[in-house]
Amino acid sequence: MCEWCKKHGAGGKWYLNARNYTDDLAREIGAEEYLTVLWQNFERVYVQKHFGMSATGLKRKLELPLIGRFLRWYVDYKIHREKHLNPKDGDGHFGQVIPVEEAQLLLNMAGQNEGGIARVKCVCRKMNRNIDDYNCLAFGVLAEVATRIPRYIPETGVVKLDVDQAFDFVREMNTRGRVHTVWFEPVPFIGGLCACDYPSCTGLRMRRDFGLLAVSKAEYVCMVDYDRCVGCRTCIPRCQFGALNFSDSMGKAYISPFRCFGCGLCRDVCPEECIRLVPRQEIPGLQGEY
Amino acid sequence: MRIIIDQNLCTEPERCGICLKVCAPQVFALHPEGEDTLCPEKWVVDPIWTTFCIQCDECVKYCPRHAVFVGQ
Repeated sequence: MCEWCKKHGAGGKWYLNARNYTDDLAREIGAEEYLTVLWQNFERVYVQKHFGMSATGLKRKLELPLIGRFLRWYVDYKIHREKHLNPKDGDGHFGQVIPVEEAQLLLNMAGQNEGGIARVKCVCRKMNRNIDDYNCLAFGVLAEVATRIPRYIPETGVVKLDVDQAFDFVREMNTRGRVHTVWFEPVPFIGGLCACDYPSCTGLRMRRDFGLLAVSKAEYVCMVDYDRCVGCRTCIPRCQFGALNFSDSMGKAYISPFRCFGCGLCRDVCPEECIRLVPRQEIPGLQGEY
Repeated sequence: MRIIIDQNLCTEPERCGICLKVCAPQVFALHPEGEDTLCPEKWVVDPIWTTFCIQCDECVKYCPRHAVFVGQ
């Protein structure tokens, strides 16, 4: 179980704790004010100066001796902090990868809010690739806030989804090979479910290119059943994390347990159903590897 | 790596955005000018992750307004 499950999971996983989706909680922590500022300035998060320092050349700065280590600690601390949040910097906005079946459970809870579920434009794809892609699901207060900002809604108007429609949409995204990520905004309120791909997604980019913990690995890890894998290679192009390759010498798919984020995309296409999602907890060497 | 975008030539990045799409290491970012905006009037492309630039010069080749400069 990850740190956030312990703090905000009520004994289970944080994103399966119904309290984290409620309007009451959002009001209690002032999520509406936070989200209004964050979403109006979202695309500026890279160009903003943090601590008097711009993000330009971040990779080199993180590699500096001592200063780099401090900087990495500071950025991770800022991303995960729970008090004195600066919404312009995106403090307290981080997420985790989840497999598609947990998306269903989560949508059932998210659909109970007053704001419901709205489909809005992906900020990351806009700022990174200039693609208008309406594939992020916003919940509750965020659904209200985001739909008030014209650039996040389609020209044809706000798209509101009920739970079933939302899940159909998530399944479609899954078929298209998107990684599902659930986001705190701000912690512990859960604001959205995104359909991400590397490198257009800012969170996955931060994690893969800089090792910053904007997105955690899922509570699961994928494992290949070597007796049943026939080496058809169907799963190979599905991995976004460089964890899956075809091992020619074994004639089977190989998944690196350290690189795997546990999204389950490879499992969903395996015709032999020989890839399993194993809870991280059950594998001693992977406990705490988030 | 020095990447310069001539903001006088790059006037409609939001309609164009070609550099953002052709850049393999995804060096550029598109953002609204000014803060706290509901309907940004002007968008700007800036090179952010300059350490990732591999000098493939795709952005220079594809920019319809020749606004990108890549060099040491």
